[in-house]
Amino acid sequence: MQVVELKNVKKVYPGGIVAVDNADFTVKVGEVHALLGENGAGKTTLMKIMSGCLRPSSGTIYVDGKRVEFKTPADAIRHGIGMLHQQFTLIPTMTVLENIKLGLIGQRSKIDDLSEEIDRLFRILRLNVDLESPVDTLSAGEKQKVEILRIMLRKARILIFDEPTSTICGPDIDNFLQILRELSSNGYGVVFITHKIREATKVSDRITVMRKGKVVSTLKKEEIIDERMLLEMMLGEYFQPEFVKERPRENKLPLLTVMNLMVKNDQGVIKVNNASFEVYRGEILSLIGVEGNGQKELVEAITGLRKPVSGSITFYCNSSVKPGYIPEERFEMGVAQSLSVMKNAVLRDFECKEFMGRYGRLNFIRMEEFARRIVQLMSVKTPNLRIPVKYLSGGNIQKLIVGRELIRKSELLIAEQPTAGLDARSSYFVRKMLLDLASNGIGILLVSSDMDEVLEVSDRIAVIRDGKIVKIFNKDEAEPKKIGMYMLAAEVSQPSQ
Amino acid sequence: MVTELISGAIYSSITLLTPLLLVGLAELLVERSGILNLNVEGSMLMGAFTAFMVAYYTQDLGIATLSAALAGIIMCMLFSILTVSLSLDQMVTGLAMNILTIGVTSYLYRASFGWYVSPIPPHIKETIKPIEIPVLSEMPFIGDILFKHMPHTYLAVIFAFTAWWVLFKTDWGLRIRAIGEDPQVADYLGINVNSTRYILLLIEGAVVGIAGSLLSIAYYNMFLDNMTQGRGYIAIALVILARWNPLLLLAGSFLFSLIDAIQLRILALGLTFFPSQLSLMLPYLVTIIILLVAGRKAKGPAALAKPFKKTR
Amino acid sequence: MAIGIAFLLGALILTVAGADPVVAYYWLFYGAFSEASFSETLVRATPLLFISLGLAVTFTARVWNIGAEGQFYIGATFAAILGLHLKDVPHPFALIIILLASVAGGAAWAFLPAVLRAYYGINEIITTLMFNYIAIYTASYLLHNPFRDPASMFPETTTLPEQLWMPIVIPGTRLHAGILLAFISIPFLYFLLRKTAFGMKIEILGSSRRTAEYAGIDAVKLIIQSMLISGMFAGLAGGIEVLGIQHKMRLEISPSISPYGYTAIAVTLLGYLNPILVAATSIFLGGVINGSMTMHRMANVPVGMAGIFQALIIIFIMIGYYLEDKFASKLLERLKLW
Repeated sequence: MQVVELKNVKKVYPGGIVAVDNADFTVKVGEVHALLGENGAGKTTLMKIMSGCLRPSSGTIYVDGKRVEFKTPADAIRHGIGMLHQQFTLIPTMTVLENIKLGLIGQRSKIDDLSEEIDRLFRILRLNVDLESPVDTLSAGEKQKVEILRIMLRKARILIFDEPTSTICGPDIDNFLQILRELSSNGYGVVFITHKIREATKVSDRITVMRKGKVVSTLKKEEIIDERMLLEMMLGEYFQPEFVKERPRENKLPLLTVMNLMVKNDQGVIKVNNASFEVYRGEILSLIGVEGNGQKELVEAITGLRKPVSGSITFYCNSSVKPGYIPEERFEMGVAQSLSVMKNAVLRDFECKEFMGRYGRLNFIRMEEFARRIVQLMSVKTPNLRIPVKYLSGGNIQKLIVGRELIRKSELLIAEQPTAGLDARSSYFVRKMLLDLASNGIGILLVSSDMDEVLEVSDRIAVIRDGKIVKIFNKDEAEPKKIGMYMLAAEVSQPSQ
Repeated sequence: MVTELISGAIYSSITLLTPLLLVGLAELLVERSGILNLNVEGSMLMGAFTAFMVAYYTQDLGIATLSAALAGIIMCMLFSILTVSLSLDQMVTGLAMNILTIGVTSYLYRASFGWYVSPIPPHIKETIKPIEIPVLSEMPFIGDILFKHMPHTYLAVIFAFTAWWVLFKTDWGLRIRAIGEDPQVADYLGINVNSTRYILLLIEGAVVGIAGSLLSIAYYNMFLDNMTQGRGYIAIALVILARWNPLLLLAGSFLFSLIDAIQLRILALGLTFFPSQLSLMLPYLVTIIILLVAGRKAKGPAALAKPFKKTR
Repeated sequence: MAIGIAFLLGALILTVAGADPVVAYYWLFYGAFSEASFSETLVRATPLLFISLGLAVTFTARVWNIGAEGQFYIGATFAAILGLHLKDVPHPFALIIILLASVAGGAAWAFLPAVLRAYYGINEIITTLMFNYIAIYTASYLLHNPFRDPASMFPETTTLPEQLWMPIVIPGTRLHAGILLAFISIPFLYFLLRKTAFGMKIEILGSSRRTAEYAGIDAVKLIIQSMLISGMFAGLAGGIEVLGIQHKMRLEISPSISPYGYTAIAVTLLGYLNPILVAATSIFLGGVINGSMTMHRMANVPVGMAGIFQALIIIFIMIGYYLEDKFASKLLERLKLW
């Protein structure tokens, strides 16, 4: 198999939303082809069509010139097309071997015949784990490799990666990009879906830019002049956010002090191992680290969702408003799905004097006002305030949650991945708001794995690894390479200063 | 005398554990695929009822057992439609169906035999008798205890080992477990979540129906209102205790039935200072204790009782 | 609409059983809602009302209290036993003390399953159900031995002295003051669930425990509180039934064709957990129970019909929920995408 082509593909959802509008796309074996675009541009949808996860509303797929139709992902895999999604499709409690076996469902070959092949793939991918270990003990990078291995085992020749670098950081990203190049020279074709221009330009032979469901252009590596060109194609206009960072920096009153904190997770493993840091008023402190190094438990301890084993967490807030918290698990935690928009707007404050009357009675009028403010501020699309929140679209629910936490009058705000899932404009808006809040004296703890975002807004950057805060950078000394080093291991040799 | 007591107790426990084990194993498999079927209680009752009615009118115990299986299948199929296809809340559906079954069986029973309980309730003349396994049952002591049980008992034990082997050593088991952990992923990988669940529920229906039949045409020879007395729920608790492992379930049900057997003996002895109600309460108390002990850290299949909707 | 289907199915069953459905239904409704028998209907509805109101609280939190039956029994037993020992206490106080005792009894019975669920996540359906059996056996023991009425051949307590009987509200009927208490509870619970912070906390907990924790709600405390409330109501129902109707404690206090504790579950679900609807439904079901007795007497229809009706209704209501949900979400998907 050499070439896969998509021609005139269109995908329309009930209700009229056009996710993909007359797109053409080709990928050849032996190349790395990046599919670049903002969130919501249609990249994932297009590739889901190519990999059989979705049926197109119209358009055709050709493999080596022959027209094909995919009813299920298994069909596509049979034709050699496999996709790695943003969410893992591994079962964490099962072993690597069991997961691989599961990946072979629908295939004739037995697992024993493939042991040689598996060894070979382990080598290509530089994977070094025990087949019998449960998947949840693997690192994010290793899990990813197991997923890749699974698809390759099914004899897929075209591998589609959907935002693969969103869960890994630093040098791991470079390793990954290298693997992509190796794959292409080893006889595979790679589609690399991303919104990160830098990564796309680093590794691709061709780049296709999508915007609002349409393919804007497909360029060869040589044709790309600079990143600005791509950015314009992605966004439709030149859009360089200028952040004016004028803030009182002398204000050094601590808002939150964490000292020698030790926290265990549900399995009893120590995840936060003697962590200490402070958050000051008027500053944005970012916490960055590879997923699974204790950030989750740390935040849970600070927000009161988990009791630490030892250590102290001290707040120096004056008001009684709870610290703001934008949770990573937006839908599971951030909203009460069956409750109305209005009630969700006051989800964290409804017991405050503002919303309560006598005898514990709720003041619905004030609740409605507050909800309205959020809706207006963030342009949340909702027919009215009384419908259950679960009927809102994902993006709007996000906006509601983020908006709510931003305008509550809390002195401290903890934001986990605040711009994840938001489109470019909303992202910019949120970041601007974070900076505004900081200028007004609010202290913000930002937990993010988006290096660009972190570099943009932070005053200080704390790197967490193995449950410890290994280094805190000031804004001026922060550099992606250095940060990445601390995120992974200090044994990596220091670059020349 | 002592040996007789012990052997008697062990024999009874094996007898008593049969329906629990059958129901428990079937439910274990179903729960491994992520479905919590509280309706085992009702299906069991329906099985008991059907078996009795058919036995009464046809005098054929074999057909009665088969019809119990059929009744169980119908019940579980109804449950499947409501929970697998329509994705209704599993707990509430199971509960509602249980209430329904109690009402329906009591009603139909009275419809057939009259509205007031007569002094001599209708009963069948012959019940299922234990069989004697050739050769093995002639062994002294052990032969009496282990090898003279109803055929259902041996089937149950074989079922236990089979279930264990299937779950952990075969591809089928892998798929079932995958569905129970994350049906979305399983669906993506090409496993047909709904069909698998339907099949497991079908099997469960038959097994549970037969387990119910044991009550009315083997252990007793009649039908009583709400005959199962919560045994279905107890089986579910035992599954939790066994951490969803068939072999542990075998052990757990045995221990539980041992206590039950001892309780019955105490009852039979008619000791005046030991209130009969306390003995009768014992199984339920023990169940609570089981749940206390085992229920805390029990990590069942991650997707248990969560509704599954295909997202395509 | 679901009720309509249930009735149709019921008619089918009736015809199969050899009775004339029209006649049967006539007697059903006469027995339930005619002037003569309406008071009886209310009598039947009273315990249902109390229990299902309490259940509305836990069900909203998605805590499934199936133990109402047991809590009812314990409340009733406490009431009877205490009543026998309070012969010398002046009238109104004695009643109040007894009722408080039954409330406490019901709550106590709900306590252990509540704790198990709150702290350890142990399935409350099974634990409360087990406690039901334990309650019934406990009551049975107490009625057979220590507290048995020596003069009676049934296991029951001695009849309570008349001063401890609930005053009759409408002379000539059995309708007692308990119904007044019930009617007060309705707005109280409505207010609690819909208009207070506590009610909102319950709603949030019902939506998802994780969200509740995020919102700063102490889930453990709330689960226990809601179970206790529900237990209190069930216990109260038991006490009132003893003081108002039975005037003693017997094992048959909860009709076997339609045990109050379990029937109340149906009532609460039918009423969509809304206290007002729930109240209406309990009266309706009280009528069905009452009417089916008349139906039985006059039209030769089996007494078990009530049980069947309820169950059918629950299943159809749930199908109704599903359809409604699907329909509503399709509708809103269109709106969502503007």
